This record gives sequence, structure tokens and C-alpha cells, in this order.
Amino acid sequence: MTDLTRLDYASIRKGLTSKAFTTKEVVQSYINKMDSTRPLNCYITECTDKALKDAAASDDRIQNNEARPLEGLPLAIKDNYCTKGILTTNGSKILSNFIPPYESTITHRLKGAGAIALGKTNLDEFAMGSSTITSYYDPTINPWKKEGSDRDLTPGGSSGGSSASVAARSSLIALGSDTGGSIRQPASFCGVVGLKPTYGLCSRFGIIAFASSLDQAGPITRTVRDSAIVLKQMAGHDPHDFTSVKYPVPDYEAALTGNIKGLKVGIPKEYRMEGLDFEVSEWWEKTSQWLSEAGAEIIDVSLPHTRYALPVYYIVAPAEASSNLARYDGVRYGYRAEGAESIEEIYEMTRTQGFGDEVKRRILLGTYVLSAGKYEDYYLRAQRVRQKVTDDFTEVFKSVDVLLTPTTPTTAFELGENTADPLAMYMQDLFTVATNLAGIPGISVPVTTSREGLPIGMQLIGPRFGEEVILRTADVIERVAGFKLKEEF
Amino acid sequence: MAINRSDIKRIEKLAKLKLSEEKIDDFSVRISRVFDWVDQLKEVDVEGVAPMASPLMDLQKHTTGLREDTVTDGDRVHDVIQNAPSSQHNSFVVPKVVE
Repeated sequence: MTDLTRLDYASIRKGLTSKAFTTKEVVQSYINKMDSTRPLNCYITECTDKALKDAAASDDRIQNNEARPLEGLPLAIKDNYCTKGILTTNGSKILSNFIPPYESTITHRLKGAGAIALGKTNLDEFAMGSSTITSYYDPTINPWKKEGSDRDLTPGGSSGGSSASVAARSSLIALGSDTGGSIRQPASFCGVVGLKPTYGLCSRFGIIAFASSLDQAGPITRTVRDSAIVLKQMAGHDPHDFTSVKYPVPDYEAALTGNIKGLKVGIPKEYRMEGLDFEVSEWWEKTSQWLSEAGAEIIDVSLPHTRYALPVYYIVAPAEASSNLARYDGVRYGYRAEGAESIEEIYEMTRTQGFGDEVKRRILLGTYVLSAGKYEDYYLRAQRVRQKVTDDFTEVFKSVDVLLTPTTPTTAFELGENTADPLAMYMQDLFTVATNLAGIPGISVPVTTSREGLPIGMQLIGPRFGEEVILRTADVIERVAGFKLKEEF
Repeated sequence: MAINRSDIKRIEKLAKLKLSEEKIDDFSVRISRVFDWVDQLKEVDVEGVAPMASPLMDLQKHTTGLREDTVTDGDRVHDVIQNAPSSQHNSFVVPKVVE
């Protein structure tokens, strides 16, 4: 029998409805893969017993011809989505005992559509990082290695566990969240597809808040089609999230026509910057040629405020985080420090012991830029520049349909690299962060492996609610690229 | 811009954190490095540009508006309290606050 973990969801769905195999067989194959890839540390919590029970129920539905849109989909969930009755740590000690009494809207919708949760995946603590090394539960390891080397590489982050599990086939599709690049950068490092939708398309209800004006849920998949299939079930207004938009959800799969004749693709010149790896740059050029050969028109464009996007992010995101993370006080849920004698001591000792260094630094940075005398100079100024970064996109989308850029300046780096200097790690988000500031969608699609044997991803950026056009374009790139995960995964 | 030890001590109090002396030194170096870099925002002309708090500022009529003031949830004291580090009589327990 073929290894069921090698099929994409589109094929699984076909096989299940034609009764070529059962959900139980699919889920069992994934559980076996979770066992054999455990050293990669993709999961913080595994829910395999429940998954097998859900699989049996799924098979009953299929027998009764009651299959739902995502019937039998083996799903991994980033551990910052609240899951009712299942430990949700957010990669932090401070939530090391937190069992949510409610379910996030997105996981509720996907489970209701037939998806089967395999477990909760590892992430940088509070989704703050680009390597998964700030997790309290040890780093995740990228299944890819450099040719001829056995040194461990980072899967990227913060959705590192999710991306590594999709690549290593210990999940078929995984949920991620993206505040500055946390879906797209790890997807690029792991050779899988990662989609950050338009801000407001997917509900944030029940996703533990990091920076509320930037956070967005999205899927990590092995194919563009699978992203389109799962996005349709994720998207749509939620009365529990007042920033979710009443927008009619299109059939994203139907947008994958393979036809991009006349499509206008912008190449922003500001992304050709220092630090961009030569090979990544070469493949950027090559990808734009593919699009041109497929009938698209390639147009050089300018986003003059791009270089300010990252510094804006490092004021806005910590400011929002310092406010959001004020709730972790050791009183109502989560970790509480032992031996505190006053309420003040409970707050201080709990937060000092419960948060890791990167989270503390960002809380301090955020507290500083919001403090009296600094608010105007830093926070409000950053928000004004944010508007200018956004205006650049609004302007450029008057003349092009999509933008093509690399997802990351380099391929995956070694575990422990880029930790001495905070800026070196922050540079990982150079190409992804502007879309979060503007609230527009971006998708990373793998195009090739480098000479060292590591995946290179390209990013397509669309206008607000432009998911269909970026999915259609990514699908064309995917068809031409013919990228494959390693056989041994 | 440099963030010195006394800045860190002031903001750690605001943020309810208590760092070791070593950490204060380390953080002041790392955070200063970030501030030196974000200072480049000062060169952008933002005259007349309103602060952008959310990507949806122009879409507010498409997001959730007002609703009837009716109870849609509740009677879940046990659910809420079960994660509390310390609780009694359906309440969160903390050390005495008022002298």
C-alpha cells in the first residue's frame, strides 16, 4: 500500500470518498510518522488517542455519505491556538499548565469541517522569534540538512513546529500564525507553502494575542491547492472578533486556473538589498522569468518606505505585546511563583520566572515606547510611518496585481546562529513584515533547493483580500518549479 | 539612543519584572542596539500623516458593530476558575491587599 503521508489533502479527500482507504488508516500513518520523527521536536503536546477516536467517527460519516469539506484531514495546531481541554502553552513556562476552557474559532471551524487534530506544535515563546529556539520546550529541528552535513538547522519561526511537521510528514496541514513573517519564513526554510491572509479575513478569537493589529492566522501546507482548500474553511466573519471583516468568502480552489495571461507582476526594487543571498536573488530572477513565460507582464516598481517597515514593527509589535502580556499575573490562570508574600510580589516573581529573555526584552521595549515622554516620539511616530508603508502598497497596487519577492534573505541557518545580536535575528523578517503592517496577504511557495541542498521560497504579495490572485500565481509557480520534498522525509 | 541601567530599572517596575543585575546590563546593551536602529524613523517626513492603529481603520463598517445587549454566555464559574493557581468559594485567592 502507498504511504498515505505522501498524498496531499486533495488526493486524501478523493481516496476517502472513493473508499480507497479509511480515515483511520490515514491518521494511523501520521501517528507512525509522529513517532519516527519525534527527535525533531515538532509537537509540544500529542493528541493521538483522541485523533484515533475522531478517525473512527470520521469513517462512520464517510460510510453514511456525510463527509464534510475537510473530512479526515490530519491537522497540527500551533500551540498558541486555544483548544478546549487540551494544554495550550504558547511555548512559555507561564502557560505551562493552562488548559483552555474554550476553543479558538479557527480550530472550532476546522474540526467542525472534519479535520482531525494530531497535536499542538512548538513555537517561539509567545510567537516572538524566527527560529523556534526561544520556546520553553526546546527548539524544533528542521528536517532539511545541508548536503553532506549532519548539523541541525532551524526550521525558522515562530511557526517552526508547524512548518517542520508538514515537511517531515508528521502532519498533512498545520495552522500557523503570522505577526511579522511567522508563517512565511518557516514555510520557506522547510520547503512548504505558507499563507498569511489579509488582516481581518480569519478570526483571531482564541489565538493568544501577541500584537493584535498584526496577528493573523493562516495555513501551512505542502501544496498551494491545499492552502486554498483549508483557507476557505478558516475565512469569514466571526462575531467574537471585532476585527474580523464581513467579507464574502470566495471558492479559493476555483481560483487556481493555471492562467495568468496578462497578469501584472511587480518587482519592488527596494527588496534588492544588502544581505540578500546571491542564490536567492538568482532564483527570484528565474521565478519572474517563469511568470513572464506564462504570460504575465513583469513591471519594476518602487515601495520607497520598505526600509522603515522593520523598525516600525519593532516599536509597534513590542508596544502591543507589552499591553497584551500584562494579563499574565499569576492570579487567574497559568504559572504562579512560589513564596510570594504580597500581590506585588506575585506579579513580579511570576512574570520574572515565567517569561523567557526575548519576551522580557520585548515587554521592556514596548513599555518604554509607551511610557510618558516617549509615546509621541516613538509609538505615534512609528504608527505614522506605518501609514506611509501602507500607502506605498496602495499606490503600487493601482498598477500591478501582485508583487513577487523572496520570502527570506537567506536559506535556513544553524540552531543557535543569530542569537548574539538581536538585530541579526530581526532581519529574518525583512521581506515579510511590511505586509503585516499594511494588513495585506502574502504567500511563500518553495521554488528550488540551493546548491547546499536547502529550500528557497518566493513570496507573492497581494492587495487587501487578494488571496485569489496570490494563490493563482503561486499555483503557476508551483507547477513550473516542480519542487519536491526529500524522498527520505 | 542609549538605554541605560536607570531606564531599565524604571521600565522593569512599570512592566512588573525584576531582573538580576547581570540581566540589566545585558538588556541595556541589547535594547540600546535596537533603539539605535529604530532611530532611523526620525528621518521620515510624517507631517500631516495620522497614526495608523489598525489595518482596518477604513473598514470599520464591515467589522462587528453593536449588538443587542443580551447574555450569550455565562454560568461557567467552574470552567473559569479551574485554571486558577489558588481559589476558594469560586473566587481567585491572592495575599491580603488592604492593610
